[in-house]
Amino acid sequence: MNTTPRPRRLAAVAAALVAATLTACSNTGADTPSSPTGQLTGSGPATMWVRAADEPMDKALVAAWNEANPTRKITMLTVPDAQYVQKYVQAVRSGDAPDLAAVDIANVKSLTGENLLTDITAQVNALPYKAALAPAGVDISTVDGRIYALPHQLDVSMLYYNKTLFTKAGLDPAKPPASLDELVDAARKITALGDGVYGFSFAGNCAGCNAYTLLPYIWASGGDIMNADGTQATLDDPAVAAALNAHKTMWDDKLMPAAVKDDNGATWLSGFQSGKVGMVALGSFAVSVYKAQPGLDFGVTPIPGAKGTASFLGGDVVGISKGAKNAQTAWDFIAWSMSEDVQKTVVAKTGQLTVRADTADNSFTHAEPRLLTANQLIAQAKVPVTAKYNALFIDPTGPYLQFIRNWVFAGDPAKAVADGKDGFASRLRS
Amino acid sequence: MALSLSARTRPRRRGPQARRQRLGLLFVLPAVALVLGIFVVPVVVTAVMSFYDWSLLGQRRFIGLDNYRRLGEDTQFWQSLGFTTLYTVIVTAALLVVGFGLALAVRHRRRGVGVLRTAFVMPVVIGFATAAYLTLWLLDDRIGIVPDLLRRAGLVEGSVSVFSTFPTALAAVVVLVVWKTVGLTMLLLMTGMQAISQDFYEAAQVDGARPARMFRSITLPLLRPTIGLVLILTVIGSYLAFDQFFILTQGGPDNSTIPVVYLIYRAGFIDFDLGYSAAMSIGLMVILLILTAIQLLVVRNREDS
Amino acid sequence: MSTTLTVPRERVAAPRRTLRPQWLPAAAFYTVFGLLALLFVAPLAWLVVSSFKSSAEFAQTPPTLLPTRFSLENYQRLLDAGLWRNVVNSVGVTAGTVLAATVLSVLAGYGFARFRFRLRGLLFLVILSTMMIPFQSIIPSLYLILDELGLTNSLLGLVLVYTVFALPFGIFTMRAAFTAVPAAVEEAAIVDGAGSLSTLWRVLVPIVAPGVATVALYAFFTAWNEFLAALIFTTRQEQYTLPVVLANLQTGAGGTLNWGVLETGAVFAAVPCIAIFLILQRYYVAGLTGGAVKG
Repeated sequence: MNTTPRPRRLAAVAAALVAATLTACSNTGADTPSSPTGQLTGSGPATMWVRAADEPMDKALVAAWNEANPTRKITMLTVPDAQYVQKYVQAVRSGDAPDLAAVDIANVKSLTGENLLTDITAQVNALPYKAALAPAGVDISTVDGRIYALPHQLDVSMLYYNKTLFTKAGLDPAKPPASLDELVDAARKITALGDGVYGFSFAGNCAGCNAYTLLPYIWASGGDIMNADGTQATLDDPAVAAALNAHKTMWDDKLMPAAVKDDNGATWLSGFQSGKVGMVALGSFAVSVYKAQPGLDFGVTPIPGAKGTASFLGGDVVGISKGAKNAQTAWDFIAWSMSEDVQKTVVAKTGQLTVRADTADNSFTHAEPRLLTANQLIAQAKVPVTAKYNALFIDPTGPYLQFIRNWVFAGDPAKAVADGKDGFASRLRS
Repeated sequence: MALSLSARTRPRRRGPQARRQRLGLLFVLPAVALVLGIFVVPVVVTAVMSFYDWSLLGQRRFIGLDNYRRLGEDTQFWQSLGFTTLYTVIVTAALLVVGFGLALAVRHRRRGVGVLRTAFVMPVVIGFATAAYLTLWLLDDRIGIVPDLLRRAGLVEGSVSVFSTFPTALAAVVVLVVWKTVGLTMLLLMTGMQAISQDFYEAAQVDGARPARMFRSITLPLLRPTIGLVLILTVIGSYLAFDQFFILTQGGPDNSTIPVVYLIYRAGFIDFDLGYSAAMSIGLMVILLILTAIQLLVVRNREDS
Repeated sequence: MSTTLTVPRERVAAPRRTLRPQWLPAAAFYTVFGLLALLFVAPLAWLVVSSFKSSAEFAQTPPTLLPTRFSLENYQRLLDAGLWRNVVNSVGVTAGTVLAATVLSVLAGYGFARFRFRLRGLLFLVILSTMMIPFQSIIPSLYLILDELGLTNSLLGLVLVYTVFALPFGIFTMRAAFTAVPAAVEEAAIVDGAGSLSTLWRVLVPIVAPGVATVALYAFFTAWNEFLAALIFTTRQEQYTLPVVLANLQTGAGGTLNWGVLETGAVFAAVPCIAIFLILQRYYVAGLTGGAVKG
């Protein structure tokens, strides 16, 4: 075991430690040599980080690439979602960053904000299908007109509804709710069926779940929870009030199970799965889960708001780390992964949405109309613009979850806004 | 071995004092160097960092006392400190009471007492993270044995979500901590009790004192140094709680169970704000030093009086 | 955290023969404390037993007491997911820590106990003071320093950190142990012509062996169980130690937490500690309570 230091080595290391730490303060700049713009170098085997939740498709992609490119294989490393950005930043610090980083779309600004990714604008502009790429995914990866990452694996949030319960409650299963009022109304009628059936559900104690599925209610109401450049919270926005009041009404009127208050995501999917819940907002990933459930007849629709509908564009974008040693391999992999053939035969085959609108037309996606709906939502789907996504929206102690809980469960919008402003400001300050 | 060379300069029993000195220094040097490098230097660096706006990526800017000013206004920090203090008080009291009970039970040589001691100490050796995952499972509403037993006993109906209210969440953590660490408290108190001369008890018995009286008049006063030690260990350990909250409550419900170390971790490694994280660290360090000093003084004064 | 185990020494008179005031009748005593002991052990025992359920049975509502069918599914899944690698990491880090902490504690304990060199008091105080300042509060700077030295993402880095965790207790224990050995023993050896180091190794260490065992055990538990430093200082999954892997098992893909696999991971983390404790508890208990140092 080479981790077993002998005393001599230990003493030497200890001495070195003392010496080195004295200079540590003068020498901590993140030195990431940037390749000249437009020119990628390095065609050896590459490394790639993916986050745990999105591992399956990347596994399939990397396997297919490695088979076709035996001399420049890609080694994939899976990083837990919650620690991805932290670990990536640490890896860059210690000169240990992977060539390819497939990162949560909502987190890409944390990386571009710190200038950690390579400019690939020239390469992207050369792609004939550039216009067909998920626009929100490209926009969020763009800083001052320069592109640093591209959509890699997509998922959109949408409203799932139980057609059987809709029929029973006298609602038209072909006409899912298209506004907040219709949503609350449908929830009321379904709850009235009794027998432990509830009209609506959401994961009331899960920060990330609500970033993904509750923000769209706000967007669909014609506003946003943060300003355009993501530097300030806009909790006073009437759209925020509209979306949260609808939730509050459904909570107050017991149109959702009492357990939603404590759901930290662990039982997010299970209520709807058991057929006892009428509607729930989830990512398109849940289609394959629910499809496998016998007797569950469900449809999907864009998430409604006071002024239309919206979706959150989830999933990953992929970029090349600053100073990547095998940047050319990395880019070739990205371009290859977006080719029509790979999109249709590898990506769509694993039940994923295609990143190009012009490849959505394939036999796998057509076989599942709900995925087709999801693919069509990509064009209008949004991503919150902030470099502090983790601190604000994902951290279970972050301000966003507390804001929702104060509003919906504690029933105190004024306190929610006041505390929320402090909370957002404090985490944005860092 | 690095030391064999110098060791050959075999000191005579009454050899030169200087040589003897140097030799001792050589023996302690590796340990001292390591402690300096991995502990003392980081403490100094932490103090320096607390005066900077210092990002995890390395950009930094001297900002004087800004981090400390911010600390003063940070309601979450003070709330967290209040919560950590409350948690410390409860855990310390619980550990002392339960620890005393167990120590009284296992201090005597009695058939089977060794087995009891082993059972009570066993949880001490597993990790807090491991113990927290074990607890998470035992308390899970759907698959945990505890809610199941409660329902079977008719004590509750419907779902049992322990981590959804502050009192039950805190109680769950306290029970975990007591289960996991009371064995150590018990051992320390037991040793202290065994060190008390039997003569006192014999004399008291002759005077017709009852066990409760003997406990109050003999055991407690003579155990003061041990109790002081237990107090210091428990208080420091509790103020530094992290694993159990990180895993079990995740700071919830409604951010009511965030220990200070969680904030230090969060500022440094989620917000990448090492400077502010360092300022909170220094704050915590100062509080702990003061608390320890107070406890030492109290224990010492009582001993003198 | 492990800090709670840090026990400074305290003078302890030799245990007396006990007079045994029977403050509780035997039957009541054994009933009450027997049940209590059972309660202490039951969670761990049930954890181990339950790990042999299938993943499906493990996640069943309501839970079953015993596995209806013996299954190694959870173990199989863990090993398929590459857990062996993390077990090796934990074993390596722990072995390194035990070795380093024990050797350094013996040397330093001997130095502090037997030599009167300049700065002796100050250096001893510095080492002890680390018990008063929590490592949790120096994490940011410790991270930067280790990173500068290329010791993040490295098991060697963890070994160094854990060794420092174990040193104050270790040095304190060993100093007390060496102090308790009569000077005559050492003098006799030196007269016989043995060097300091060989005296230490061949004559003194066997005498203080129980203390050494205590220090080694303490280092073992510290390194095997530590979570926060491992969580922060390692970036790559291939370097994670067991407690960190557990945290990652908890956050499965798409909210699909596999309880059976998670808790079986906990078995991997807990059982070695319990086994070692049961075998060597004499040294552990005696060491923590001041007995072992007397040899």
